[in-house]
Amino acid sequence: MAQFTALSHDVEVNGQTVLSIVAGMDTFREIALEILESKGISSPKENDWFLQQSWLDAFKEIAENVGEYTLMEIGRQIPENADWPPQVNSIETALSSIDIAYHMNHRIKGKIMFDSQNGSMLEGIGHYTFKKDSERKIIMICDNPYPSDFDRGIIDSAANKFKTKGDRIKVIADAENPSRKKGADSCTYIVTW
Amino acid sequence: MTAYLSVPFISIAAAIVLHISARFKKYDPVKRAGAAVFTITAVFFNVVFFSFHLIPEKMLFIAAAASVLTAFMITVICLKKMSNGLAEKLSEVLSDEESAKKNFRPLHGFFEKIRKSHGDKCAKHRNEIEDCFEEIRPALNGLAAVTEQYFFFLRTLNSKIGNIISDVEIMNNSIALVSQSTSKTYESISSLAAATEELTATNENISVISENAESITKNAVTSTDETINLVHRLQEASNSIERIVTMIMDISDQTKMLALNATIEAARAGNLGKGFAIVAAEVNELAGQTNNSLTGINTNINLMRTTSSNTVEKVKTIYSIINDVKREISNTTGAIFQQNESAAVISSETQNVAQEVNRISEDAKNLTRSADGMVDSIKALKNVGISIERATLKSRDLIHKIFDNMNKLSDFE
Repeated sequence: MAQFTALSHDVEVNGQTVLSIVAGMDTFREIALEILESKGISSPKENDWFLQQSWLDAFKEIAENVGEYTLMEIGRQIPENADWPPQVNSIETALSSIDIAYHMNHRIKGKIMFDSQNGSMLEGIGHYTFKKDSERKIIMICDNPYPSDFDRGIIDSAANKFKTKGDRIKVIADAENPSRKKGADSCTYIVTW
Repeated sequence: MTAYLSVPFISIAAAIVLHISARFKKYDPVKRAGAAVFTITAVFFNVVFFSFHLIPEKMLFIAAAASVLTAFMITVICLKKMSNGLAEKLSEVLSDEESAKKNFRPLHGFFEKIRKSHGDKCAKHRNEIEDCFEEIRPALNGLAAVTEQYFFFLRTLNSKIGNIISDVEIMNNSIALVSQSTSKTYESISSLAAATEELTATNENISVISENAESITKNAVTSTDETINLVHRLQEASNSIERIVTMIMDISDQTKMLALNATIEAARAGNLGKGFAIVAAEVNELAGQTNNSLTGINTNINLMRTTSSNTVEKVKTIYSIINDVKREISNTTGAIFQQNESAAVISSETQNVAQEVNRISEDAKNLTRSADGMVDSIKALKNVGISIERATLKSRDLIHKIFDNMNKLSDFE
């Protein structure tokens, strides 16, 4: 899935997620709000919904004019500010829940893309695919329109949030697999600890 | 002799000191072995040379030096052989640990001790370093993100400053134009004020002329009144003349009757009355001529009366016209007076406006100077911003390098 291009114009993202940009650029929050406003997202509130394409446009602006560390920092804010269900208590459960949380924060044609009642998931925004490789190694494949460094921030932050004391999380981009930075549809990250 | 003899003994003593110090200071086994060999060799050669007096006395110093040198060379050869042997033994240790333990137990124990000691220390340090990295990495990431944002902010700020410079320059040009316009306006208003003053002066002249005209019309009215009176008196005189003419015509008629009577009486007197008849005829003729003349006078008097009556009418008309003119002049004088007052107010206000415009012009010039200064300051500010922008970019690169090096250190086994 190409970066910064929504698959459907009916996809929306919630205000809580959008506000991660503001949290990730806290020192320059006025600039963050200015960038959002220039893309049609004015005064975002947690319960509002905004077009995913507008949010992606804001990301594109940040990627092109600000930089990769900021994208990563914005990604870090997502797990930090998200409400996690009680069953998430380890690196594995946290990373495997990212895809569900991702779909819960998006809706298509007004319908939230993950139904927690029956566990059904709607397609249209890509995935964060979780693969357990070994005891202390996880492969995360990010196939979505968000920027690569943003996803890396999400993974790194989620893993660090649920690590046990003494664990040292290492998230590296798998150089042997394609990257969205180079025009591919997905990125692969190797998480070890 | 004693001096020469002291050399080999000093060398022996040095070798012993080196050996003993090597033991106490726990030098590594290779150095310790080297010191031992050096000592033994030096002792051996010195004992051989000096105990058996094999060398002449004069050659003692050379012999001592040669003994030390030989001892040193033998030491080097021994060390080389020892290191070769050690290398062989080490390779045995690597291939067959049990054999090494058996044959080189002390050395193995020594290396094991070193390995354990340094390994434990390295592992401890590595853990400490990695703990630090764990703390530093997110902080550096945050710092890099803030640096990026700072860079973006500065770039945006520089862009905005560029816009401000452009706007201020436009404003400056506008102010310069306003300044020019106000200068021109000031000149125009000054000309207007001068024209108004001239107008006031002209109005005052007109006012004087009007007053003179009013006075002249007043005199004309008086003269017209006098003319009418004179014409009336002329009419009265002509009436008197007419009465006199009438009276003379009556006399002439009576004279004519008397001449007729005289003619009749002269005819009755015959020849005696012929002369009298002639006089009577002459009188009659004179009376007739008088009558004719009086008729002519009467006609002229009537003509004169008619003319004077017409003259009175005409003079009355002139009188009326002069009165109208007088009234108009009076109105004009009033209007000119009001106009003078208005012109005075306009002149005063124009001067005030001219002063205000002049002040605005000065203010606009000051504003232009301030705007020029502002442009210079903002340009300087922009240069500062560009410098900070470069510094920020460099900081970001440096953080990136720190990250790379941290990762290399983390990966180092």
